[in-house]
Amino acid sequence: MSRFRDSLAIVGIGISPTTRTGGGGLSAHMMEAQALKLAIEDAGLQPSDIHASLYAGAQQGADSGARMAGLKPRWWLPFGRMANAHNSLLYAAGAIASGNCDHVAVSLGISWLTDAQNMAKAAAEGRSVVVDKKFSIARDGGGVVQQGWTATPGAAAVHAFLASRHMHEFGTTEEQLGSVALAHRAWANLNPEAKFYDRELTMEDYLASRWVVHPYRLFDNCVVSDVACAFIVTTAERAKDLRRPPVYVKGVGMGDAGRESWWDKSTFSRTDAAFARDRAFESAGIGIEDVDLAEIYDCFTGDVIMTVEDYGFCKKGEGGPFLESGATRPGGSIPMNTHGGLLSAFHCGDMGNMIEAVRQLRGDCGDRQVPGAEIALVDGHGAELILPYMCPITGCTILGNQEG
Amino acid sequence: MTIETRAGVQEEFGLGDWIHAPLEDLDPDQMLFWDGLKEHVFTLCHCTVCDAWYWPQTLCPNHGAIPEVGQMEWVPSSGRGTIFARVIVHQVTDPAFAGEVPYGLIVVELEEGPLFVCRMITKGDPYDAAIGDPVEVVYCDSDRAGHTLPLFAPVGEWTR
Repeated sequence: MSRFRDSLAIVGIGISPTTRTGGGGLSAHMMEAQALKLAIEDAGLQPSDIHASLYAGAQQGADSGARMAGLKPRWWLPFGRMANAHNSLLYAAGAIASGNCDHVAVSLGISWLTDAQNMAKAAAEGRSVVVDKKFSIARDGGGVVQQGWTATPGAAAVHAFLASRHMHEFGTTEEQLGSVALAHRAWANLNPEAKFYDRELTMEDYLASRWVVHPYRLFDNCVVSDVACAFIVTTAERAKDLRRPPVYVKGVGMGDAGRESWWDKSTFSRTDAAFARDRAFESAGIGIEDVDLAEIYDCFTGDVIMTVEDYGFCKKGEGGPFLESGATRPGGSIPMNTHGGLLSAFHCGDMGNMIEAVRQLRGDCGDRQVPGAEIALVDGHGAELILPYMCPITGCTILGNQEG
Repeated sequence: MTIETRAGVQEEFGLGDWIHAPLEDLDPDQMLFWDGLKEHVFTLCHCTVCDAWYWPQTLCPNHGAIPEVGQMEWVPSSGRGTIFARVIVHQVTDPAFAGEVPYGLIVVELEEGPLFVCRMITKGDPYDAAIGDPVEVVYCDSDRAGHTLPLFAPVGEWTR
């Protein structure tokens, strides 16, 4: 048995009020402090019990969220790349095993809704705005910003490339992309925290929605949110004495072959889930057939189709028909993105997926609870450094509510 | 055949004044590429040891743990390729581009092998340019800014 399996547990989770539940309009670090406070209370701990505070994002270079929450950690550290919810678990494992800390907090606040509103205001006033410049400069040597690339909703253009290639190679259809949006919306309709809780989505609605960047329509894009999430990690042994039942970390795997994408052209229609899954499942000692639910990083619809293929929920190239079959919807054979995901709930990087998986494994999910869920696959991907070939890093975590 | 250029790319393809916006954050390793464009030469980084071509990579990973900078050279290439991936922009946030939607952004699979990402220009409907179609570089000079942008168009759209 792997030494890592079941050695750590997530013992506390917190999410700030969402846009739909009266949140928003606050700074990212204020929301992050709210989420941290809730997570620490959820665990039954005090702020002074948190010995290391990890910031799961790249937006902020200061510990303001942790400070506002009253934490006095021995150290604070930003995780500046993506798949941070997964990277942070690996880092926490070492920090705890080395004796440097008992409890580690992982948190992220995002104020992209407020930021977007400010940008729209600037554009309306005729000021030129460079959107998401980060998507251009690191790998293409610059210059693409000036060609209209980042005039678009930047990440959408980048990810739409991947979808266009997948459609070309495998015959994935617009309706199959739409079926991802519909599946996640059906889950959001069961989640009062979700942005689209009270708005259903039909295929007619989807096909009638405006083009943003072909092949992506409005509802192929994730929502933009003001929200924060946090979770607390400790050893499985200490977890037994805390307030809530432990959710065990059974395995974590990372994949990063996307950096080869400038010469390996196959990376255009796959994610690094194909690599991350092997280490995660080996550690967990289970197979894909043992997974009860999955929380897939759904920044755009096409990413979900590629990712389910790469994990092996279906064959490569068959992600479109798989989503179209309804397998991932409420009542389906393998529920996915049970909170509504980035597409229909809220966007807190890959933190939202981790929070939702813990809630499901605790049995706290009410109308959207997956009955008898014991094993969850949590996925996160992305990166800020490569254009146009996003998704060069994937993190995969297997969580379970039983030891062994 | 690499397309020869002349004044008027901006006018002929209806491009905005964004072509004059200063190029920012250029990678120092890429300056020979941008210098070549000013001479209307489309250079790629070439490995003298194994004959592999790269862009924007400037080191060859094919031999030895630490690739040698001196093995690499920027040399003229065909400036031609086929569309590998294509998106059509409908929604822009930056008003500088609002007059041009819908427009295409493409990844070109260059004849020499590397992928190159760029703005696609066309006098026709951008949707008519499909994945697999041949495209070639069009040099868009900005005398005002002192730079040349490498835009790509369907083959045959820009001839003398």
